[in-house]
Amino acid sequence: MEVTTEQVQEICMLSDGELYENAVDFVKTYYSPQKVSKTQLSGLQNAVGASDWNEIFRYIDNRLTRSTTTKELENFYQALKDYLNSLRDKVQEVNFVVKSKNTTRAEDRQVNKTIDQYAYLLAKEYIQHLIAEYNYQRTLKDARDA
Amino acid sequence: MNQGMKIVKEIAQVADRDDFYTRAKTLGEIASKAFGKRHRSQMTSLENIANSTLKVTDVLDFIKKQFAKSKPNENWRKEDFGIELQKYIEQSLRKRREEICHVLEGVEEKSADGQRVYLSLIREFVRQLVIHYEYRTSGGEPDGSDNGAGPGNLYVE
Repeated sequence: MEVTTEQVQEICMLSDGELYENAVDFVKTYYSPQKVSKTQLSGLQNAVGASDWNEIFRYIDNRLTRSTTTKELENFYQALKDYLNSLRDKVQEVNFVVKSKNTTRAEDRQVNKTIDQYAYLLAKEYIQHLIAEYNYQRTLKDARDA
Repeated sequence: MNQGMKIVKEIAQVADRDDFYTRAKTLGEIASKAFGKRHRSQMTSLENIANSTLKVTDVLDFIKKQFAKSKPNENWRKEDFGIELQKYIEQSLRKRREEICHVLEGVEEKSADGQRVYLSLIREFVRQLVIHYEYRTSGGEPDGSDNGAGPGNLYVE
């Protein structure tokens, strides 16, 4: 997949705009420092580092199905999964990929794969903001509590 | 004058204002206490990121990450250096961007040009902050006077 200069510009704008704002809001809503540990976030960071859209979901699903997962963690990962899924729609909304009608299954598969690749680029930005904000808020809280 | 030149001119005017200079100086002085000469790489990393990135949020994420890594009252947590810098960028410089976009007719804040204005403001602010940091760590006085050992002597007219 080749990302054009215009698309890079669009990704930067999205990253500085709604992806950043949504990540900050997400942390406000799902902030639970005892449950979502630094280790949990490092695991998420590593999953994103694998450069594969599906790997992020494998990681999240694995967390969701673990018997030790608490309600807070479940809410956190479920909301994250929902948001990341919505990024596939965003890819089409900004016209990175246009789905056409009357396509073959093979073409559909290819289009979906391309959507995933673009969605991965957005997810990477979002998760970077989310982890930075989460650990920042954790440190601020520790400082307040000290 | 083309749009690029207009942006450069507006940024230069904002950067010349007293409040911009004073805030960069204050934060540069805190940075000198926080990092000294030993952790100079923190300042060069900040400057490198600001100068090379295409996104404002790369700078903000870097500040948050470094703040979270710091021990209480050390480095980015010294006198709330990280918090103050993050707030200045997210609040004051964002307002400056609004002002500049307003002056430059037809430039939307959330456009590529708007983002360019914001990034240019951050680069200029970080540049000034790092200059103050370097000056202080090499012996310059906080009130701007010189104790005879600082680099101020180099600029005697």
